[in-house]
Amino acid sequence: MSFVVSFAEFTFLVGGVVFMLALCLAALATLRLAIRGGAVTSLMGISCFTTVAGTALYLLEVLFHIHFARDTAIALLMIGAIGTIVFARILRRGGGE
Amino acid sequence: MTDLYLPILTTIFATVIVCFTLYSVKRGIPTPSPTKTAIAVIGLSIIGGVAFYATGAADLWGTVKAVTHLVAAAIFFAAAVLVICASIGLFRFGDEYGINIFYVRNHTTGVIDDVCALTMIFVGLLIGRLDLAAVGFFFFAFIPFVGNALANAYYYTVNKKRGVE
Repeated sequence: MSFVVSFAEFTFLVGGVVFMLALCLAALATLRLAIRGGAVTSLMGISCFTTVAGTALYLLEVLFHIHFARDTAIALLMIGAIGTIVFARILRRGGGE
Repeated sequence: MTDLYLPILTTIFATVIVCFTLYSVKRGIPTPSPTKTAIAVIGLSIIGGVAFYATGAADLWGTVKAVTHLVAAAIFFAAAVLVICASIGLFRFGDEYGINIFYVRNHTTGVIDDVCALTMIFVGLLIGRLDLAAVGFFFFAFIPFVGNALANAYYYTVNKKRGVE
């Protein structure tokens, strides 16, 4: 294998890990939002957390070939988005904050 | 011996991408515009791929794989910068800015959602993982509805009750 191919694969792996670390920081920020805010703000924080966690889990499967992480990621991304819309409608009717 | 150069070259590559992205974030607009950046990236990828293939160091599939992985790595580094900037924004905008700070936070979380979805789409297309691109595209289509539902709920539960328009 030539040097350029090795360099491309190594850089791809490092880039993925750096992006996952950035997602960990974003997860901390959204968890803080979910803990300290009111009902709608918490819902927003949890919604963003599901996005961040789902993306990180999917990248875990892509970079390190951990296959069960993909199913968890798909479930998080789909159900997180749909559940946020449903709970936002419920909060709007009930006056959540 | 060549393994020693890998981390150094990767660090230089990452530094260039991060500085370029931070410069765009500092200016507030993509510099240059996204269209010019996309054309430049595609052109450089083709030129670099042809030059690398001409050396005969790898076959055609190896060349395509190397170029697409490098572009995907650049997307990862740029996305990491944007996610970190958005996270710092989420940490900094506290409740002391008033009740309408919710909309700023909603926009900031939307930035994180968009970056995650677009990264999944483009990286999935580049490395040939169409399932990743499909999930990213499905999620990208849902993001506006989520943001709108959250802002709508906040408006009717907080703003309207307090008489703040």
